[in-house]
Amino acid sequence: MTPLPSPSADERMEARRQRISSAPPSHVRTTRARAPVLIIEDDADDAKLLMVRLGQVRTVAFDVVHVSTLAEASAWLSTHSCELIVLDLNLPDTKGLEGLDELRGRRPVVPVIVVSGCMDDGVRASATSKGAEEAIAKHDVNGRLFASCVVYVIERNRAREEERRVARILEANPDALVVVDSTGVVKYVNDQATVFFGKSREKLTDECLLFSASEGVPTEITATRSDGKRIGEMRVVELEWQGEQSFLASIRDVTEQRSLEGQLLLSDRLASLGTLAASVAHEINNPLAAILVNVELAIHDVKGDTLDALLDARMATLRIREIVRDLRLFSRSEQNTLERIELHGLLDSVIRIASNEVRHRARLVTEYGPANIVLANETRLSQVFLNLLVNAAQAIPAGNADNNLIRVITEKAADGRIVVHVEDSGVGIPHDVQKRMFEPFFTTKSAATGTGLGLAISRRIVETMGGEISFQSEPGRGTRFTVRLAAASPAMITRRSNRAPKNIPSARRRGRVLVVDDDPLIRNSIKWILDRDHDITCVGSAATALELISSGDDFDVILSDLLMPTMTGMDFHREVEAAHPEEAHKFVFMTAGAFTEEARQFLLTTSNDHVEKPLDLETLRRTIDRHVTAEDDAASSSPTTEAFQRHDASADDPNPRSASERREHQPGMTFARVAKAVR
Amino acid sequence: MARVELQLYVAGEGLPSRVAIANWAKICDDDLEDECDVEVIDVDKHPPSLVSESFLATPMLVRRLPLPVHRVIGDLSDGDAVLAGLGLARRAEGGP
Repeated sequence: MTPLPSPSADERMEARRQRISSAPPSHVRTTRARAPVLIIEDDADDAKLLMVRLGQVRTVAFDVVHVSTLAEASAWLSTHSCELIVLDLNLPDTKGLEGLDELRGRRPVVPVIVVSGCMDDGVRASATSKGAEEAIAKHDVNGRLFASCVVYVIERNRAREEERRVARILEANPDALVVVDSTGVVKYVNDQATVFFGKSREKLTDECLLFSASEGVPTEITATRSDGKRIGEMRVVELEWQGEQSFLASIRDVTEQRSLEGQLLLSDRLASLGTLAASVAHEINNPLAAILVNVELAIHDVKGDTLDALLDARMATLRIREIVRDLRLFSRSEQNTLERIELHGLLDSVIRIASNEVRHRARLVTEYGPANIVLANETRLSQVFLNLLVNAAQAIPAGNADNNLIRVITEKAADGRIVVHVEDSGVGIPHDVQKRMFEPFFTTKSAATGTGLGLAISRRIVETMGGEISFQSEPGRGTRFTVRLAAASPAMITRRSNRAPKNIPSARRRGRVLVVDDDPLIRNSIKWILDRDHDITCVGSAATALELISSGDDFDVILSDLLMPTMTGMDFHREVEAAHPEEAHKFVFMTAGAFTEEARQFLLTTSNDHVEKPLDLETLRRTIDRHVTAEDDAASSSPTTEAFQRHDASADDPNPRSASERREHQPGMTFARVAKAVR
Repeated sequence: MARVELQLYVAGEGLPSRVAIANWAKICDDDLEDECDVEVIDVDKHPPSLVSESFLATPMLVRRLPLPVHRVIGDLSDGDAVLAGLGLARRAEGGP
C-alpha cells in the first residue's frame, strides 16, 4: 500500500486526512494502485458519511483526503493529484457552481462528482454542462447509487486516460501511421503521416487510399513533397478497426539513412578504385621505367627517321607516366585533412582523366588566373572536378566536338577566395529541374549512367572544405558550375616536385653508387644510365645491401627502392640509421607511386631525397651528381645535409605558367603521331 | 463497364519501380479479364510541374476514371488490395 505524499506544509489538513482501507476481495483483480479521492465538504457528518460509503466499495480501494474549503482544496491540488473529486456545492468560501469552475480549470482531466443538499434538475443540468461527471443529491449518498456512481466515474475516467495515452503514443510515433478500410476510406492518420506525405490531415482523410504490399514485408516508397523527396520503408498489416477489416500502413522515413548508404557505397567504390590504382601504378611503373631509360639511351645512338620514331615513343611513354601519376589522385587513403593544393596541376590531372569522356563531345579550354594555391583535400577535390567535368561532357551530345566547348576557368574573387568555373555549351538544365539539382538520388540520367549522388556529394565535399558550389544554367545554351574555395598562402605547397634544380655541375669524380631494387629491369636500367660517370653496385635486396655496408664498403649514394618485399626501403634506412648513422644521409629513395600511408608519411618527414619511377634520365643523373658533389663538399668543410633538401615546386617547375595562359588540350594527338611513325 | 483510366507513378528505374510494374503485369494476367491499359509515369523524367498528380508517393497506381480517384500506394504485391482499391473485377461486396 502506497501512502499518499503528505502535504507537510499544512499540518491541519494532515490531521484531517483519513485513510479508508478496504482491501478488495481476492476474486476481484485490481490492476491499478489505490485511487486517491479528494472530498471537499464543510459538514463533518456529511464528510464522514461519504467516507463510509467509499469504504464499502469492493472493487476499488480509495485513499481519501478530506478538506473543508475550496481554498484548502486548491492548495492541496497544487501539489497532489487524484482520480476523483467529490465537491459539495455549499462551501463557506464559494457559492454554487463557481467551485466547480475553479476545480475544472485547475485539473481539467480529473472527474468531479458534485453533491448538494438541494439538488434539482436545473442544478444537475448546469453542473453536467460545466463538466461535472455526476450530480447527486445528498439524500442519495446514503444508498447504493452513490457507490456505483463513483466506481463508474473512476472506471470511465481510467479508460479515457488509457485511450489518451495510446493516442499520444500513436501521435508521437516517429513512423507515419495510416489506417484505411478495405474500400479505401482513411480512418486514422498520425502526425508523422502528415509530415511524410506533406499533406494536412484533412487532405489525407479526403483521399481514397489503399496500400498494397506483402503483409509485414518492408517495401520502399517515395513521397514527393514540395520541399523534396522522402524515401520511406512501408509495412502493411491487417487490423480490425471499429469492427471492420482494415489495413495499417506504417512508414519509416529512411531518406537520410539511404543517402548515407549511397555515399558509403560510392566511397567504397572509390576506395577499391584507389587500391586498384595504387597496384596498377606500381606494376606499370617498373616496366615503364625500363622502357623509358632504354628509349632515352637509344635516342643518343640513332639518327633520322628512327630518331623521330623514338622521340614519339618517348613522348607516348611520358604520357603513360602522367596517366599513372594522375591515377594516384584516387589512391590516397580517405582523409578529410585540408592541405595546400596547387589547383592548376590538380585540374590538369583531372582533365586528363576525363579526356576520354570529353574529346568526342567538345573542345576543352583552360583559362587559368594567377591565383593557384587553395586549401583543400586533394583526393576529394579531384572527385568534385571530375564529377563536374563528366557532367559537362554528358550535357553535350557526342559527335560535334568542334562546335562545342567546355571551359575551365580559374580566377581570384574580390573576397580573396579562388573561384573555379566549369562551363559547357550543352543542353542546359530545365528550370523546374534546377532547384532539385543537389538533391540526393535526383538524376535525369538512366540508372546505368548516374546514381543521382554526384552533385549531392560534391556539394557536401566542397562545403566541408569551407567552400561553396553553385550553378547557372540556361536551357539550350549551357551550364556553368562555380566552385568557390578558400585560398591558401603560397608559402608551402604540399604537392612536391622532385625535379632537381638546373645547372648542377657534373660530379668532379666517379662516385660509388649502391643500387638496391628487387626488380632486375630497374637495376639494369640504372646501371646503363649511370655506368658512364659512376661505379655502380647493384643488389636485389636490402639485406644484401646491409651486409655490404656493414662489411665496410663505402658508398657516396645509396639509391634504394622504397617498397620491396621482405625488407622495405624504410626499414633498410632505419637499420642503417641505427648501425651506421653516418651513412643514413646518403639515401636517395625511388618510389613507384604505390604509396602506402606509411610510405607517404615517411616521404613527408624524411630529410632524404627521393626520385619517382619511371626514372627520368636527366633527373636521376643530376640527383646522383649532386649527392656525389655534396659528399666531397662535406668532406672538405663541415658536414651538412642541407644540399639534400627537397626543393619547392614553385622554384624549379620547368614550365612556369604565365597568368591567364590559354591552352588547348588535344590528348589524342600524341598517339596519332606515334601510330603513324610505327607504320 | 465504365471506361477505366489508370496511371502508374514510379520514381526512376530502381528496384521499387520495377517490382511495382512487374506486379501490375501479374495482376493483369491473373485477375483482369478486360484489357486494362496503364500509363506508366516516371516522375523523375517528368519535371514536377508537368505531373498533374497532386498527391505524389511512388510507386502509386491511380484510378483516374471513373471518379472518385482511387490511389494504391506500394509495390502492388497484394493483388486483392489493388483490385479493391480500383473497384475492379473481384472487388469486395458493397464496394463503390
